[in-house]
Amino acid sequence: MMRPSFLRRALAATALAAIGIAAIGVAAMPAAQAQSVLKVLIDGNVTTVDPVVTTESMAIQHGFMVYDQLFALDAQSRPQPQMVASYERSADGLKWRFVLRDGLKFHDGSPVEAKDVVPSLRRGAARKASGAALFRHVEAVEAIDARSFELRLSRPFGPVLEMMADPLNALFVMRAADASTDPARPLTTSIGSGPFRFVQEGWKPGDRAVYVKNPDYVPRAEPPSAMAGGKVVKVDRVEFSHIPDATTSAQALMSGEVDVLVFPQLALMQVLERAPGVEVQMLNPIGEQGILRVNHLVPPFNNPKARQALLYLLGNQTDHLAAIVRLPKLQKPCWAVFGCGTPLENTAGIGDWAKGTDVEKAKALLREAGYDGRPIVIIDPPSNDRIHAMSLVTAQKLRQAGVTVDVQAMDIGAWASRRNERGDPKTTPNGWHIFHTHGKMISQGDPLANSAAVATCDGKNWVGWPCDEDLQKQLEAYAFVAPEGRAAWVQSYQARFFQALPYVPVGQFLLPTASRAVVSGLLPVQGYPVMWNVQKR
Amino acid sequence: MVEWLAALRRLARESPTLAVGGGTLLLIAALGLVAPWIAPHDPLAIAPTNSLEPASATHLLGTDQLGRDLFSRILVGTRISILVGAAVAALATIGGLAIGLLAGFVRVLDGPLMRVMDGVMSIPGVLFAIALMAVFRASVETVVIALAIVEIPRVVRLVRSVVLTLRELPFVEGAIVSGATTFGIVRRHILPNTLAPLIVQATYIAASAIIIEAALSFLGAGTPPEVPSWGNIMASGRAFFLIAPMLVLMPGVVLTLTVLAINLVGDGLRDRLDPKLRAALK
Amino acid sequence: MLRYILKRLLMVVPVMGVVTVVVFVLSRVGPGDPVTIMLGEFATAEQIARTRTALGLDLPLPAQYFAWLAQTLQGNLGLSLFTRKPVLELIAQSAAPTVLLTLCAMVYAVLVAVPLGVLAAARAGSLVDRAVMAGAVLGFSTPVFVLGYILAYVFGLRLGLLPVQGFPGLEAGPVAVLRALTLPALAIGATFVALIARVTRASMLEVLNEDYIRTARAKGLRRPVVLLVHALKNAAVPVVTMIGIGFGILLSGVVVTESVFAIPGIGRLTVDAIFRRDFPVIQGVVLVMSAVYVLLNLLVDLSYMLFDPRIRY
Repeated sequence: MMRPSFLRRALAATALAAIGIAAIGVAAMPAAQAQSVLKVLIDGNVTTVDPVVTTESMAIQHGFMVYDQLFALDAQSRPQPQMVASYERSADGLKWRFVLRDGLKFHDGSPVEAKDVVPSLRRGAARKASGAALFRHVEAVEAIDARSFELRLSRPFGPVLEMMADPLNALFVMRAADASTDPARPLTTSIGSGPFRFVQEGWKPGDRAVYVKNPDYVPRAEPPSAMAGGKVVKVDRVEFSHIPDATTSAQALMSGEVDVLVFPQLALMQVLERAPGVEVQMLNPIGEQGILRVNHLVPPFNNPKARQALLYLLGNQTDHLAAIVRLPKLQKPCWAVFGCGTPLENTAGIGDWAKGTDVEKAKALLREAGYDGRPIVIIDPPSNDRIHAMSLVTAQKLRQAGVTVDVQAMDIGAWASRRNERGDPKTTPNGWHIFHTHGKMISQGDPLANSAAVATCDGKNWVGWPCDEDLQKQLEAYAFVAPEGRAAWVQSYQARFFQALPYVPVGQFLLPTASRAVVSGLLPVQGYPVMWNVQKR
Repeated sequence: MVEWLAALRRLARESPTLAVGGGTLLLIAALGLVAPWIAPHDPLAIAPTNSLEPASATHLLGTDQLGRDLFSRILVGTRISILVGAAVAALATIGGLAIGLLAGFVRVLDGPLMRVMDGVMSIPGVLFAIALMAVFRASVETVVIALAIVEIPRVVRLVRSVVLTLRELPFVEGAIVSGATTFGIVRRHILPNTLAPLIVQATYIAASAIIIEAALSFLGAGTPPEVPSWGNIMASGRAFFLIAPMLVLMPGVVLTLTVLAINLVGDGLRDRLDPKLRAALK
Repeated sequence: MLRYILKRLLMVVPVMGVVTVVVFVLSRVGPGDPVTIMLGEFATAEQIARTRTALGLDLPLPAQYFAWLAQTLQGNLGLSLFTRKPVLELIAQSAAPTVLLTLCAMVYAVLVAVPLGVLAAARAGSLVDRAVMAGAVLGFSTPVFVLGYILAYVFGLRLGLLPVQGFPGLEAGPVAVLRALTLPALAIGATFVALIARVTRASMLEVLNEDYIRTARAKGLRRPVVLLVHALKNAAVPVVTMIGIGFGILLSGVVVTESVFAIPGIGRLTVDAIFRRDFPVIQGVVLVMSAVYVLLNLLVDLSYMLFDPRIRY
């Protein structure tokens, strides 16, 4: 007898609870609609909220929501103060003093002080290439008072501000307690002083990350310019999520389920451009740099003449670029090592190969290099359509120059492993001559961050192992070149670069961003798109 | 010549499936054979600046995203598929026959061999083939080997069951009792009786191999992508499906037609050979 | 009967043993190195070596196998080398679309194929019979991914009736999910329809010729009742067997179809894992899929006791 009544009561309670929940839901709905919510599809899921421990693009995008930088790059890629109000540099370039601006506050209400900045820089330096490059020459960094800190260098390292403004390897400012965490251990909470607050409860690692406008944030007075200037937030809430499939992502944007698709697949560009209510923009004016890398240890490419032959085969780069991105407006032929549209753009050392492919000249150079007709092994991961396209174009051009080519296809994993093999393909079964890849131009354009340019002769540099002592000496010298000396530096470096040729730049290509037409104010940036200044009508 | 034609006509009347399937298959195989000489363009020549051109007199089916001629690629792809189908069928049949005979005649080996076969068979085919291809370096040969490994257990089961059935039959038992060598028994009694079902099985394996090869290539784990196999053509065109669906549909239709022809041949053969097989087992 | 069930259960052990060895060996002898991929584009040789030691990838193979097996038996399939998430969690996360898709395809196939097969058998030799059988050969010959693209072209691109590709996620509601699954289920189901229709027809024909059906008919039972009640029950054995065997085909089809329709299921997980050499994920998926298959066949075998009055143990 007890049981049915108990059951009935339980059922009744459940039903009541359900009605209650539904009622709350209905009541909450109008409120939710009144807010402006920006739904953004990014390249992956936000699986870690610590932008220091990883270089994943998702964590960096998360970082720029929640945290703030001391300096930031403007549209001309010049570092501008962001959290810093003013700074002084001693005449010998060894002592730097920085003063934080007024009104900086962490999301928990505590003020941002110099004692937070110091450990933040140290933690960043333990994980980020930018911080590491800087701290190699840092003798001491210490807080002077609540708002100012001092940096003392052992050598007059030049690009101090550039390192603090790096948009990929960003040195974010965290609370002292967070910043004292072991740099290898990821933080699981995210309290910053940036323009958005992270909604910890809304974070589902496999699904979405949620941010709300930080009402206490005081933007700089300057108008926004790329990552620099005032970070004025114009929406109430931002949701980052990820759809692994390119087509599904594009469809979600076309149907209005999401507002911004940060990096749509290039094959879908035409579909998106034609779709009503969708806009495609080139937010990143410098994009990516294609890279053709040879194995410098084995013939024929251990001979600079053979490497130079590749320049004449690539010519004006349009065949490679057309194969990668197809649409002409996304192609940006550029022979400058550190990119076009970047501070170090210049024409030194660029020969007449840039006018167009010259097969005869390439043949002559290969002959001079003593090319003996051996098959040239190109390793190609076809699942990556950009690298695959470059591989096929290079193969065809080499064949036109009378070279025997062996394009070896493999999955991306085998490809990554194979690149570590140093041996001659003639005698080593896993050897290789050529592979292709690409890197973000903002990082390729920075002599301190461009791994492909490193030409140390110790064999410890990036796969391909170029060796040129003179070139490497010049590269290392960049760190101590004062800003006004950079133009002269790059002239000399680039002239030598094209003789030694550690890698062959394949040109630049742009990765557009797509958004709903109702979204405006996406800022042109050289790194990842940022969500301040963005409006939704 | 006349007799030959008459024989053909009789075949068409008695077994229309066999005739239609066989005819189509021969045509496709012949086209594949002469493809390199009749293809209007080099199937590998890229022209990035002429990408995704619509069908025209120069490019019968248009070009793909790298400016390659789709028609020539599909034509040359025929060779790969036919080759893979035939090679896998041969390899799997021979391998399966050997293991099946071993299992059927050597009592000690029967249990372990069949358990291994059961294990292999319980891994879903395409998954297994993908996993195998991840181990091998992509080439037409390795695809053939991987697919043969996937298909062998089916042949083994077939051969073993035939052997076990035949062993019990009076004339085989008689041969065993009269001291005939195992080799002699296999040659005189087992092989002739296994042949018919094996041939039928081989055609089905060829069809299945062609499909799995295409599926593997389509997923990017099959023949090397510079080889214009049908699966590879589909794989390289799939990103452009919304803009240029023919890049995917055309090779797919040709693939289906080929598999259909082989299956018709298989069904036709099965129907013709079955009565004999039954008679042998009765 | 209990002895039979026990014996049948014991047979699963060596089969799964073979599967584990095959899966393990396959994922370790390949040329790719997961660590190189994990550490990204610009890693040094020293970093790679250190990470490999940390992950236990430098131990001898048998040691790695038993360590892995012991963990597996406890239900721990390890962490993905790539995302550092538990493999079981990854599989569980991507299981929903796969399971739904498989079920939809199976239900659809059985609902279409059994009546077709019965019809063909009842009218053996007629035009209907020939049409069904011809359709079956065609269905059997069309690779899932080709059919998938044809369906996507016709219903998605041309007619605009259904989404071309993609999966909205379960929270989008049953209507959106079903709409997204319709085309892929039709594509995978086709082979299955062909298989089951053929088998249904064949076994129906066999049963229809058996004595007790003739007796039943002679006793004056009306034809449709005879067909449905008597024949179908007896014809169920081969049909159920086919569903068990066909499940392997279905699973293979799912891997490819998910790729065509961009469904983030287990197939996608596998393909991604293979490209990244994510060993634990590859092992986990192949193992789980094979176990499901073995289990299903076990159930099929055991279900004979229900379906076939002639089988007694």
